[in-house]
Amino acid sequence: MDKVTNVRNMSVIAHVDHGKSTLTDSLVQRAGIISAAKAGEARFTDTRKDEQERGITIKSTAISLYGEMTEEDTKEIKQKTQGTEFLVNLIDSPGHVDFSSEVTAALRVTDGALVVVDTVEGVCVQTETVLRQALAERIKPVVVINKVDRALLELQTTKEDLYQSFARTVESVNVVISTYFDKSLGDVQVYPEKGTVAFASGLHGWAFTIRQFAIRYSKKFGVDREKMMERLWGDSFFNPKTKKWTNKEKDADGKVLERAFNMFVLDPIFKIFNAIMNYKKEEIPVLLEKLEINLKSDEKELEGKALLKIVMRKFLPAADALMEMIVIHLPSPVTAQAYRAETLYEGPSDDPACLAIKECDPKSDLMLYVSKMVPTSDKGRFYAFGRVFAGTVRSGQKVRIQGPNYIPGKKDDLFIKAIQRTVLMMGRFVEPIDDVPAGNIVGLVGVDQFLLKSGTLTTYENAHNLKVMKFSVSPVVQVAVDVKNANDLPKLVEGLKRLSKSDPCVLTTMSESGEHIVACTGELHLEICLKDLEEDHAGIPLKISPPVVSYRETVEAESSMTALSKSPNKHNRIYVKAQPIDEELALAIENGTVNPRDDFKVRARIMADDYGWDVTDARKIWCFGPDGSGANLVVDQTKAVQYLHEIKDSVVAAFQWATKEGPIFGENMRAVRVNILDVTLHPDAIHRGGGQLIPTMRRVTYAATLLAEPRIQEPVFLVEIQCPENAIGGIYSVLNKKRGQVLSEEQRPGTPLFTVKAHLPVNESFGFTGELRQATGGQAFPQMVFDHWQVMGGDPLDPSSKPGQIVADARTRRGMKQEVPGYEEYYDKL
Amino acid sequence: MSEISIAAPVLSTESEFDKVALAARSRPSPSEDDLIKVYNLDQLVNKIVENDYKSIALQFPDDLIQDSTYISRFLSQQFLKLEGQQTRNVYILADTSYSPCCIDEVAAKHVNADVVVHFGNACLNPVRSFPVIYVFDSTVNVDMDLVETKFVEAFEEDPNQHILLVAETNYSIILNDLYERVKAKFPNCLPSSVNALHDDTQSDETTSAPTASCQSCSGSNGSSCCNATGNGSKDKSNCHSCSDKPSDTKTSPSVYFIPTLDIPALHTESTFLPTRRHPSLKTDLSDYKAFFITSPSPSSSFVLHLSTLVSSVTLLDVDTLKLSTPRTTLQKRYRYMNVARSASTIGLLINTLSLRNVNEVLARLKTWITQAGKKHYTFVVGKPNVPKLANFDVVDIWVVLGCSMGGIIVDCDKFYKPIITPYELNLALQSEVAWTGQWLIDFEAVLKMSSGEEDQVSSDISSDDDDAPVFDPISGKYVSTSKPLRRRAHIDIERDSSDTVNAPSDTSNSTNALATRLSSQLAIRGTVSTAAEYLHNKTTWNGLGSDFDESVDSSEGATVKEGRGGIARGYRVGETDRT
Repeated sequence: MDKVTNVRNMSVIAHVDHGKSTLTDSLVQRAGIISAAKAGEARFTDTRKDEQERGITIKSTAISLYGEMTEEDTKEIKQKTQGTEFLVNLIDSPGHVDFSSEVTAALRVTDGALVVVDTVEGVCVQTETVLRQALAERIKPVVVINKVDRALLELQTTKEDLYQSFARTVESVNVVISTYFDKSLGDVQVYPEKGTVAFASGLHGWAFTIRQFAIRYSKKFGVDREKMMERLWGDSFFNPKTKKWTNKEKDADGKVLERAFNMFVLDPIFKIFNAIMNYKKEEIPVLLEKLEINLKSDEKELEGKALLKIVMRKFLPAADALMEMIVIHLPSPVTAQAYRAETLYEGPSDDPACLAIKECDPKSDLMLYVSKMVPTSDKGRFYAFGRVFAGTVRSGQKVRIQGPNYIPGKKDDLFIKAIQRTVLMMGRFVEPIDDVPAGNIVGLVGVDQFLLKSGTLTTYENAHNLKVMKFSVSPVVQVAVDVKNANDLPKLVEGLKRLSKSDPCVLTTMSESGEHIVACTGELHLEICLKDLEEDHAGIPLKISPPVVSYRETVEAESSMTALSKSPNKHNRIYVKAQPIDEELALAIENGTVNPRDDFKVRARIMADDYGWDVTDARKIWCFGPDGSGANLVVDQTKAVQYLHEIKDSVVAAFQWATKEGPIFGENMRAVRVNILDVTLHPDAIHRGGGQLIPTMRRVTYAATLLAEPRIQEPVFLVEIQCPENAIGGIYSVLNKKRGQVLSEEQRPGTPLFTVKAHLPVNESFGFTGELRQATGGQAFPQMVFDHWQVMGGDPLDPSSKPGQIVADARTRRGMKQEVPGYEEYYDKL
Repeated sequence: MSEISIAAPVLSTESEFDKVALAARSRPSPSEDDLIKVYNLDQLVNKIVENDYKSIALQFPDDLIQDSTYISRFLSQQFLKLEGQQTRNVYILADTSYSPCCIDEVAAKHVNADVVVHFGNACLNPVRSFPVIYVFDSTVNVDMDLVETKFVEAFEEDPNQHILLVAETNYSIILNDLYERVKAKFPNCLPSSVNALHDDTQSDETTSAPTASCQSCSGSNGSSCCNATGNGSKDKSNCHSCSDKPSDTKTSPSVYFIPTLDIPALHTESTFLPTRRHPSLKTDLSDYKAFFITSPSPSSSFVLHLSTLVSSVTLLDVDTLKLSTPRTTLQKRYRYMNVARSASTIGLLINTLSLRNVNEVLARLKTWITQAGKKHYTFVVGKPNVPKLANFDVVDIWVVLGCSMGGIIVDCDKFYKPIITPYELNLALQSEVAWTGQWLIDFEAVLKMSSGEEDQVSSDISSDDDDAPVFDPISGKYVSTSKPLRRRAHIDIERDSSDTVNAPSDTSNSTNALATRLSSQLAIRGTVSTAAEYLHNKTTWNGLGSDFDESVDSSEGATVKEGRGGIARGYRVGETDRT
């Protein structure tokens, strides 16, 4: 652990059911934590009862593994190393889209990612999402193509088909990687011939890389290993007659040659499978001898799958292949932090804290990022789980705890406290440890009451925050919860607090009408959260409302005329116009590319270059809203107005208020730009105070919005459904009924499976899974992830339209007047 | 507005009243002769003469102000007629500073009034020091048959359900009538009455509506009550007040009603609101349904309070005779209560000056707030409105001390920061969230509540976690500023240990800075000031010159020239204009 160059922090990421946890087992087993027999079935990193029962991972789980490599292997490592001992901090993450936030939290504290892809299903929606996330965090990926056994046993593919399927998968992974190419990360595409792709069967516990075979054959052929690796992949053929390598499919006589990969790599595996599964008893010993596999006497008695498992595990142990790939190809913290520092740190890149991160210096001031909270056995208390980026963290150390809203120099969200204990996270157990140097993953005791979900810990007084994580999913599905018994209320509130601590993404808020709201990313997430809340965090019976969707209010056009409002004393006037913000910019604000905390000049440059804004306008953005960070902007376009800067605070306050509760039905506003065209102010300061201007700015924002073709936006899921051909009809009919729009329908080459992609409004998605299952006889299972906000056609002010209906219902539910007030309500005549 | 409305010239204020709708009377104004009957003016004259009140203040709500001149003229004439000379002064109090349902003590004191005669709907809250005569409309012009039909319409599905009849004080007069009409059909229907101590000597007087009687509501000793003897004739009645001695009125001022609002035939024993009583119930009050007879705009706080006591409320608007069910906004109040939990600065808004116990409640609230480690400021702004309150943006939540009928702002959506009641504040300051469905608006009840924090203070202050942030269920985030005063202990320590220059309590040789920065808080004269901190940290505009940047404005300033001088009435510009 002290030799940071020999540490590898990596996360295992993939689409749901591609075998992450199972594969992780083989690594855990190698470290001797679980027995070999159990590996592949125990799913050690699924620590919760419901994870075991459902067979899916819900929470990401960290485990530290110790491994030793051979001298020879370590020579291959192209970065600084010391000795042959390595520490791998591994985080197993959930694959279901609803839990993507767990993946984000895991990626933040790791440097490398093991991307697991199912041979049969290929690259799926979530594979792509997590890969994109990883690359955004500058995480280097390596790929494991898993469930090769399925291809062999169930699909009975030929060698060439298998090769083609492998090649296609690698290809599509590389397509994703090159789309999100990041210069400072360098070329991170994966190549089997370089050893960054492994082929595995997590269930059977075996895996191999080209490199392993290359080592075997390089001796035999007397060829250099690296050359051998290149020859074992791609269009490379071996002519057994001439004993020559060629890159042509046919030899001089026109005879079809066998691909080197098929011949040297797949052939032995096919032979083993063939012999064992077809019970060719006599062939087996011969084969085993040839491959130098020694079985114990009792193992020899086995047959069928059990024997296959043993043989393959001895032939190609999964842990070795994975370990080798992780250690050789994934960066050490020292290597990774050099290029990650600037994306991690909010402050200037030449500040001491940033330099220390770049160097991964254990002796400098502490910089630690807490990425999530892990429940302890003690109810209501949590370990703060995070990564030391610089310095060394030790028990009893006094640190500055900076929450996500901390601004250097201010006192908000800042606590100076001692860390009670530091621990190592080992799956469901923890190991106490005295200190943890930079580059490692750690659990902390005693800081959980100061941070809700994440935060920065430092000892450097002028340190900025480490960047707050942005999640690729949004909590768009919400329910209202209430206690059945009024006396349980304190428990509910405490439970909501614990729930929102324990999950990086869940939001627990209160609606305008005073209901407790739990907002989740999808139905499964919601189900898990509510179950946790009811059984664990609050421990009381709850009343749960049917799920509802949150909407956004936006505008479609520029205000048809300048909106004017006068202050209550009539001495101040504000003239504004509202106009829509481009979807691209709104997204950029939401994912933090355009950030209120950035320097305004830099931000203006980006907005001018990438989003076509006028630089002067972009520099005169007064604020973002709501909550100071949303995708609505106030732009000052006034000319020579006296005292204008005095009213800025009032305008900002009013805009936060107005965008939080929009004029149509009190939902957040989105993608609305309000231009202040002119302001008339009373010359006496007392008559232009907040009391006069806050209500006025709010009114004028409403008036301008209502004058600019107001619309409502609804959240839309991207749905991916894999199914056999005969189920497609059912899918279409269900999608049609639910206002879904099919984007694409493709057959996965080499399989009978079709992939249907569609957009589905979240509002219609409740019960979608069930209906789909019914319509397709249980053959289709959708993956749904929040994709975008979509403007609903139709005037929300007209109660007969579809959005108008939604607005009217919501207004009644919230106890507002049913009619949406017209702009006249907020507009003052001159 | 029509085209005559032109842009208001700067500094004019008249257009502010544009939007105030004319306080239109919904029913046709009674003729002058009717007024005598409507307000029982003869009785009023008698009572004044009898008690020998010299200075009489007549208080009107806005919608009755049109009757005021006639009434005052009539009274003066009557006094002249009765006594031959003008010895009594009649004053009209209009435009009450807080709520029109309360007695405007301050205005009455300005004219040294001996008695306040209150017209119209009243909250009947106890008054500190004045004898009061409440005059209600005694000839409520309602078609009782229609009221009865409406009542039947509302409750006909189950005649056996428990119904409680409630009315605004102004309409109490018709309650009994209604009760008599429906009691046969609805056996479980009960009337309520205005809470004045009852004496059933005039039980024979149920026939004629405008009966004259007077009641004392000297709550402490029920024995000192008065006898009202109506002698059958409609314009003559004698009233004796039980205690018209000034020394006595100090403690329990006399209160009279014209006409009486009691329902004499029944024993109205238990009180369910401070100002209402009802006969003994057949079942729990919460099983009753309330039938509330009101004006078109009932007091929302009263309706909300009523709805927490009974199972459902049905409103009957006397003017339009329409039934409606009020929207219960109690869940919304729960949200506001939660806002208060995480608030750091609380504004105590005084919305009354005449209510009994205001000072006690204010003092109590201050102790509670301080114990809870929050900061409070006290405000008196006259009638609260949106711009007035939005001026103080450091305040996170307002607590209004006001009349339970008209002084509580229930619907505060338009306000920048929500407004809660002392009762809700008390709940918010408890260490555990509690929300029982009760909603008390009465000061007495609030005074009885304990502050949940009292026992905690000693133990908490020493523990290490005292400044741990609290979870705010509204935003779902941690709020670290909810207890700005909690860190006082640390501040004190740091102040002692710091060098003398920083100690604000030092004598003249210490720093002359107005505000002192302590470890985590800004303090003015040794008190933590969240307002100063707010101005310092949250606002970008810190006053004149704060935007002066030496690097930009490095050039020499312009030469100083003499500008205009004088007062706003007429400025003098330059030397030449001077005379």
